[in-house]
Amino acid sequence: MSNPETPTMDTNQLQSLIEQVASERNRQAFERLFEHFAPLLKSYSLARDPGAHLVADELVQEVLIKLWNKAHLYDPVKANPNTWIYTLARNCRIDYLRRNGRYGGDINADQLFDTLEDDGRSPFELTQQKRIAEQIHRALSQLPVEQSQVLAKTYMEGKTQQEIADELNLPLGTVKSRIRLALQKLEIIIGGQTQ
Amino acid sequence: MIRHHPSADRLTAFSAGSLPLSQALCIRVHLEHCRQCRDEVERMNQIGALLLNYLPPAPVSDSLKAQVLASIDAGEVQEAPAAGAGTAPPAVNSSDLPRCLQAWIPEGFDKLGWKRVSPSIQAVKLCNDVNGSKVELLKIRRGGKVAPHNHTGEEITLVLEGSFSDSQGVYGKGDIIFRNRDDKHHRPIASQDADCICLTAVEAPIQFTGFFGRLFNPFIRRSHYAC
Ligand SMILES: [Zn+2]
Repeated sequence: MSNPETPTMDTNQLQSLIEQVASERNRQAFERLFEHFAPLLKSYSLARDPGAHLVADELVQEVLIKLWNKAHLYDPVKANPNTWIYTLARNCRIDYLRRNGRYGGDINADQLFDTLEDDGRSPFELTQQKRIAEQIHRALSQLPVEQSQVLAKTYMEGKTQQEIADELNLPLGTVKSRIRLALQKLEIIIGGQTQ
Repeated sequence: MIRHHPSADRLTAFSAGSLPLSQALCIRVHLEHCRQCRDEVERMNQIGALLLNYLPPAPVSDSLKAQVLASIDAGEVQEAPAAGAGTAPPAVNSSDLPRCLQAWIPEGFDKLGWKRVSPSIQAVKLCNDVNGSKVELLKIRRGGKVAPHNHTGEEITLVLEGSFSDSQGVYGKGDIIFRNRDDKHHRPIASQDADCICLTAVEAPIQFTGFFGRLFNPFIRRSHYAC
């Protein structure tokens, strides 16, 4: 994993741009969001389907249009702008794969992944959440390569644990335990769940 | 009190969007019941966001930008704010039915077209997944027993109402249970005080093992595990 680049825009800037899109339908703000996110979103799509540039362009288009349409639903108190965009991109990708027969049934991604907002979080909990976010940020760049590789394959390449095991020629249990170790280092798991 | 949660690596796959949708659906229902796992998934989404930011930016053509701007200018993609996701669920639904299941169960469990599978079990199919999984609701009559069975693939069960038990524990509302081919002679029994309604995603037909089970097998396959 490459080092976190100095982002061209920080969280507050992104937040205020999204708010301008929501409240004023501000086109300049939207263009700046496009310039920031489109290259990352394209890269996200190419991570799963290298070479599929048309598919990647379609994903960029869909996510950005969603951003325009749903900006008023974005709540800066509940989610960091980057996390919000990530979830939009993930949902668009699932829906794209579903339309193309990779996933089936009458389930759409928004139905599955729409926000599970917790109303009435206390200011203390919100501060704590912010602290955890920073901690994840710091810890992620310090993970051993074998752990961050498995996370990247899961999140960016969209591979199942079995696909990762096959690709890296590892037992499935090793893939699972690498994920678990990574999550422990990032201090994400609270309980000791075993199922 | 929820005692049975999905494993952390499953929650990661949920957050990354790499689970089969039938599995993701069961986990989503659990999340609607479980604050702890919800918080974990939220933190896992942050990993996704960070990894997205670390990707090497790919060049985007000007024509793509022009195309997106043209669509938003044309207004053809406008949607009324009130109709967006994240708004309150329809007021008709006063039950605490999970939000992601409401589309399938608009008028509550009683109005569903339950099909009798055995004297104590009724079922309704909700959908299929491309991996071959079938997603169903099962209703086990209070005190009812499911015939002992083995699994040929993974079976996920989530308790929506009532409770049941098997040799490994007692499961109540919101609990999620994963069974696979290593779990032999699985024999769930609903508790005596209420009917038990579960959401299940079954990857492959289960195999009944006892005498009555064998008797039921062809019937059950035909009636719901195979249709
Ligand atoms: Zn849980």
